[in-house]
Amino acid sequence: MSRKHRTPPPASRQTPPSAAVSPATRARQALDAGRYRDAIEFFKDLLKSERRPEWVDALAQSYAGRAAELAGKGMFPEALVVWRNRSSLCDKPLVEGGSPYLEWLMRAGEHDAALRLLISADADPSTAADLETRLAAVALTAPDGTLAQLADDRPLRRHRAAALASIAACCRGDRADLDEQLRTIPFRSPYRDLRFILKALLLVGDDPSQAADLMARIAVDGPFEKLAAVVRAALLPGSRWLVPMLALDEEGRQLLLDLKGCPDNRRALMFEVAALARLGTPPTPAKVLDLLLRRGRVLPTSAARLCRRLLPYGAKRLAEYRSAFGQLAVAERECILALAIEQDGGGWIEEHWLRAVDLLSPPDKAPLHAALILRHLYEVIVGDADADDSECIDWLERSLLLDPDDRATHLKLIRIHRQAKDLQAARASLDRALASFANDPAVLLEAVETALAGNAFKKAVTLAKRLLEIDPINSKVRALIGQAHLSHARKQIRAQRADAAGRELDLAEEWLSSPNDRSIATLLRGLSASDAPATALLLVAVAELGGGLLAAFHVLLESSRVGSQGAGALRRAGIELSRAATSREVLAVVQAINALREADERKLQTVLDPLRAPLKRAAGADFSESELISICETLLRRDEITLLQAYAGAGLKRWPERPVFVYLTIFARHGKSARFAMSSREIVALEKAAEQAQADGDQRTVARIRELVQPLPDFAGGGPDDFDDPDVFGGPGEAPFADLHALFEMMISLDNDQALITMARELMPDAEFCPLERAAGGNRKKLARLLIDYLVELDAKVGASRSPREAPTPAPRAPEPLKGKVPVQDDRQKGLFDD
Amino acid sequence: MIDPYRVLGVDLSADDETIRAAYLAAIRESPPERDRERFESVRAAYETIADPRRRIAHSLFDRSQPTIDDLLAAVSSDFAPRHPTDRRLLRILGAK
Repeated sequence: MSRKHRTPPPASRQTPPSAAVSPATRARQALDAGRYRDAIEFFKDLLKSERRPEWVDALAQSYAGRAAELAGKGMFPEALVVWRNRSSLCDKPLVEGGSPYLEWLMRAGEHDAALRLLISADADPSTAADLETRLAAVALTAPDGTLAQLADDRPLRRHRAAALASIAACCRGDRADLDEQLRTIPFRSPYRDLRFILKALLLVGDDPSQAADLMARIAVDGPFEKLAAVVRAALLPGSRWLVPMLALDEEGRQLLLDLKGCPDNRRALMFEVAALARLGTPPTPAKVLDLLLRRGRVLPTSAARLCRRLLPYGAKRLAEYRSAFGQLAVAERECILALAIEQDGGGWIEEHWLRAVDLLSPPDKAPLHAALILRHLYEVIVGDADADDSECIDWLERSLLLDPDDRATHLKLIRIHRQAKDLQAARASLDRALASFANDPAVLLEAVETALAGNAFKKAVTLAKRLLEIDPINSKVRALIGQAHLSHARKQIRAQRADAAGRELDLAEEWLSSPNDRSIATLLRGLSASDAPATALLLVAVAELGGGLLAAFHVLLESSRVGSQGAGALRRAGIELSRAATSREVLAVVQAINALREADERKLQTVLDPLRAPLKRAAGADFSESELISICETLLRRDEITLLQAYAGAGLKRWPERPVFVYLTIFARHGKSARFAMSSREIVALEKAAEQAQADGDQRTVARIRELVQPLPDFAGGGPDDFDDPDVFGGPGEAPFADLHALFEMMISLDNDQALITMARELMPDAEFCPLERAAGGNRKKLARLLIDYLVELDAKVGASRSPREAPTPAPRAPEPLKGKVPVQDDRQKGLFDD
Repeated sequence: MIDPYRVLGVDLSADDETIRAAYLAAIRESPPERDRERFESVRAAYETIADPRRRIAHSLFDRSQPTIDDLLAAVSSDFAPRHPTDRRLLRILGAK
């Protein structure tokens, strides 16, 4: 016992003097209060005067309490010293029923002492068997001499040789010998757990489930627990063994890594990986990359592959990769650099991707890779947006040259060309697709759509029937055939061939299934002539279509399609537009507008001219909030600004707190250039609406408001703070941007081409605007570009007349000369198709 | 990034047939009613590498984040499990 223990107990811990208790009482009080150190001192003092048995027992009790205290703190060697003092000073056996001594010996690692205990037969017979079992693992490593002192018939000694032979067989991987040796260890042997563990250890790699079954038969905390813990960890699937590995001692970890087959030079790395696993969250790419690059020299090719895949997260470490894993192919490096730029969310990715494409395109390289890169590039740059950019379309064309068997790209190209109204290119793409996929329903459907877009109705019907042979229950194709006949009938009516139109309508009715389409067929019969039977059919159709606003819409639309006067047709149909339209009628018209084909978009303005007044009057009708929003969205998409103003205003009146109506009202009032025209009240209203939308989780409205009010970047090179400068929003003629061309280009890139066209229409006289509009041939983007060139040229002329100080920086791109861009209607499909 | 090749247990150079066979075997082993999570991961893995174009696209453009399993698989692909030495075993058994 230490000196500290021998010092008298401190005064503060003693019973107060005023109590005047006897030493025996004081000692008992200390013991009862759990002050074992004091109790030991007091009882030892008492025993010096007289060795009373009850004081001896009390001292033994005090020692036991103190030893338990120390063991509880993990101080097993100290606890053992106190326990031994108890034995020597109080004449108590070291091991008795339920005594913790053996447990502490094992915990303190005093295996030899534990064995000696067994040999000295100090343990009572009831605990001897338990002692043998618990010492089984120790007995295997104890010197032979120590075990020789055990009686021959003790199982610990009798089965020891077989247990050691089993271990040797297991380490050799000799299953037959292992089974042979294990058979000699009986079920009641202290080494019984070892039988299961060694068998499981040999099965770890080959049959983990059987190994797990074996391990399940072993109690946790048995004599071979250290070995069992390793085998249990080794049996965990995937990476789940990593964290338990960290809980093992050094020998256990090394054995586990042996079992996994980890080479010595990679063990430190495995501990790092385990430490990452212990965090419980997936490691960041940068961390993994760092780890792989640091240890690259000892890692296999699979690690190099993972590292390459992660390099886009750290493209600056390409040089480190080279020194760790070796040189990268140039094309691969370009791909990594392109992905790194994509990862950062901006920059010029084309440069790297296209360089990779050039390197991979030769037939002896990897043309399929190159094709996929071109398609990927298209997706990244264009995505789902309209692709008018010929360079982007070229990527898809080029990808098909490298990989002609990709049906999806064929279909995409056909649609792109058709949507861009380049029917010649669409047909060329279609021919290429049909060459590879002659009987593919999707390709045939595109052929039908393309024929329809080119007004080649007979061809469309022929193709659709061919498609129906392959796919007889395709309802879309059946409807398309009906529509093709309807379109052909319209063409015949336009050419004043009523009989031919009638035949087409007869055919159409065979295919049309919806009541609305059949009413349209009747309507066309009514429009095909002006006699009484035709007028009667017109009245039937109008009645079928509800007789109100919707019927008027269809009459006007079909009149426009067949080239007749809408007003006259309305009179013949007896439709009265002066009466108030109901909300249902307005919604039906909006639905019909939404169903319009792209080709009819230009007709919409003419069709709506007579309907604007009744539609505007109906804005105050009883719509639900969602109906009103839906109507506004349709009007916004169709640039029906006057009507939008009426409906958004009605919405704002009924739901003044609804941010979307605030946005739509202000947008309708000022258009996409609202930022230049809004009043301060409107700006405040938009700010409040944005806050409200944010609070409501209406991110779409938040984004739209942001886009509407967001200042444009300063191309003159000023910082972002410059936008607060009111001069930036100077009056007309004071161009705030040095590079007008770039500004307008940016407007187009932000999909603001309509705003640009509207602005130009306001600024330019008709004599200058109309020729450009005709030259664009209905292509909005093309018109926007022609207008840019015009406006830049105009600005340059105005600039020349300003003082040199005021003159803006010259535009970087000269305006395209208008010469040679003679306004010509784009009619390339004429004559190419059969009708 | 859950390596689809590892999920299906096929080699990087495996062809369509091998991959499909591995997929069908994995699905049989883990039908959705038994292990939904495993089933979903097997299906996702198959859809990622079912044909040559998808395999190339995966190798070219996959930027998903690595998991510990990916990292472990990458650094331990050449591990060759071996039997322990009896000295190591006895040291563990005799350790304090």
